[in-house]
Amino acid sequence: MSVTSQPRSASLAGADLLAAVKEAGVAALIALVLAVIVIGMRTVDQQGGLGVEFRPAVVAIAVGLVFAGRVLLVLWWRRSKPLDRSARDRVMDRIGAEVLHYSKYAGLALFGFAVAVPFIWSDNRYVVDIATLVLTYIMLGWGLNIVVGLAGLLDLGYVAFYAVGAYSYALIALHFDLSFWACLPLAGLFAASFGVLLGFPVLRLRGDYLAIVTLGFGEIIRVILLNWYSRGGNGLPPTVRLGLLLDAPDHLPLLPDPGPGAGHQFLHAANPQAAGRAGVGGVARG
Amino acid sequence: MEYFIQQLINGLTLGAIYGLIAIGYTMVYGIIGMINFAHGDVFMISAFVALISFLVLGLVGITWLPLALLLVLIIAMFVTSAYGWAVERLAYRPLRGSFRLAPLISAIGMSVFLQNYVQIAQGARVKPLPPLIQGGFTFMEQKSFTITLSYMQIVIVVLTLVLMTAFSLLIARTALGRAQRACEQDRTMAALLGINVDRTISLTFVMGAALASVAGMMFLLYYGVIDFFIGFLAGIKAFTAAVLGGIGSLPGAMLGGLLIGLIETFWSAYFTIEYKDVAAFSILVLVLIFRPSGLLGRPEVEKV
Repeated sequence: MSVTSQPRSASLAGADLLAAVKEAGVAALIALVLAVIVIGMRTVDQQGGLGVEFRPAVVAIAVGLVFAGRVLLVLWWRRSKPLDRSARDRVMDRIGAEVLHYSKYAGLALFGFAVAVPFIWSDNRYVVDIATLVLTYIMLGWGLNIVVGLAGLLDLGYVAFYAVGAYSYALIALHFDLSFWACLPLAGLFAASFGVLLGFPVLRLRGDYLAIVTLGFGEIIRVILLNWYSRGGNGLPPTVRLGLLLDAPDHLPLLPDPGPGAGHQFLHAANPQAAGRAGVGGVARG
Repeated sequence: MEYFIQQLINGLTLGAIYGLIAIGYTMVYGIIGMINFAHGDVFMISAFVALISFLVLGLVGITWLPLALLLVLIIAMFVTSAYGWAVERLAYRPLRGSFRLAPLISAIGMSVFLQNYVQIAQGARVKPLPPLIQGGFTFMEQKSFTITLSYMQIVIVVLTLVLMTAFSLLIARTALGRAQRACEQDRTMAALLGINVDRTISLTFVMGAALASVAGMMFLLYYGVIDFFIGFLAGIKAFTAAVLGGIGSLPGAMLGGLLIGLIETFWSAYFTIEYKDVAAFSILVLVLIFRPSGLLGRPEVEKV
């Protein structure tokens, strides 16, 4: 049995390879059309306008990668029968349950790690900045999960509230000289009232219409903030000192030093360009 | 009065470009009920393809303008259609039949991918192109104000009208158009009746991308400056136009495009140029609140 099946499987493998090469040839041809102008001819600044720099090698690499990748992919698909949707769902459910199970323990460990990060890397501004950004995005993800996940409203302008909160905080602190703990709930309150304000007219709409109106609202907020407060997208001046931990050294994550370029951790959100793009790319639209 | 007419001309030109992009949105929405967020970036890619083609044709020595324009138009349409097809094949088709948000999120990812792809491949700096079509008619000449109707504006409006007519005929008269309308109404039934649904959807993307490529080329010629980020704002404006006119409706997309172009231009002319986007989006919000299906759209039956 095994003796007779061997040549057949060998010939099958040959047929597989031929089919894979054929299919990959088509894919490579399409990749060539896609790449030859956009990748293969790079516009460069030169004396008296733009010039073109030809890069055939890069195109060849791109097309070669597509070809090789497609051959491997097709072979892989032929070897292992692709799962149908319900089987795939079952596999994913099992993986999800396992992740959920282990995340109980991993969550505790990661929480400990998160608490420890500013102390371990207290002299490394870069790590602390990234960690702060990660936590900011986690918070944004929570909020978006309430709107999109739990309420099922596709809100593409969610990031506008991020900007409103950041600007409320920065402006209150700037003009009224309130402390961090007074500004924080106020900023939340302002952003929340903006949410109510938007909700009244917008929640009459459903589905994709809701999506486009919230997207438009996000753009409106961005343009307004850009024009009122930012003088061309520079953000607000970082004169807000948090005073969260009184004697903490300046590089602790929640205590930006007032020098130039500081205040980045929270004020990057007060720059609508940054906030808009971060949200557009990372959070609100994703 | 002269000022008003001038702004009307400018607004119609801008609106024609928005309208062409909006058709891509509205067709895709009509046929698979999905907001194709990558469409604005396909438009951006077409502008880049047109720019590079102009430069290369200049190097080769084809400088007779009508021939160069025609060649660039063909190249841009071809390459951009390939992009439209590839985007659908890679990012949307595997997700067909998945939950409703999946292709939308995939589209947003594709949009970001295309932006970064062009940024890396072509550089982040703005790309200028010296004006190719110069001059125009001036009339109602007075001391204070002269109305100018540039040749470029005429080209844009005429080309848009021609394309729109051809396109409407294609949808109304040909077998492909009939297949598209059938898929729009009921995809399962269309498949049962022997329509290749996947192919029809692919061709819808190709047609949308081809129209966007014309818009991209005209944007390049009209403004003379492009960068990798133009697709975002043009895309959401065009989508706004599609929704304003009633998404799924082709005349609606064109009407919405013209309205958005006019609103933007008049707001810039009579109020503040900084808030032109605010004006356009505010009007969108108002229209949607009082007439949620858009100006020419059919009222949507909520599918649960």
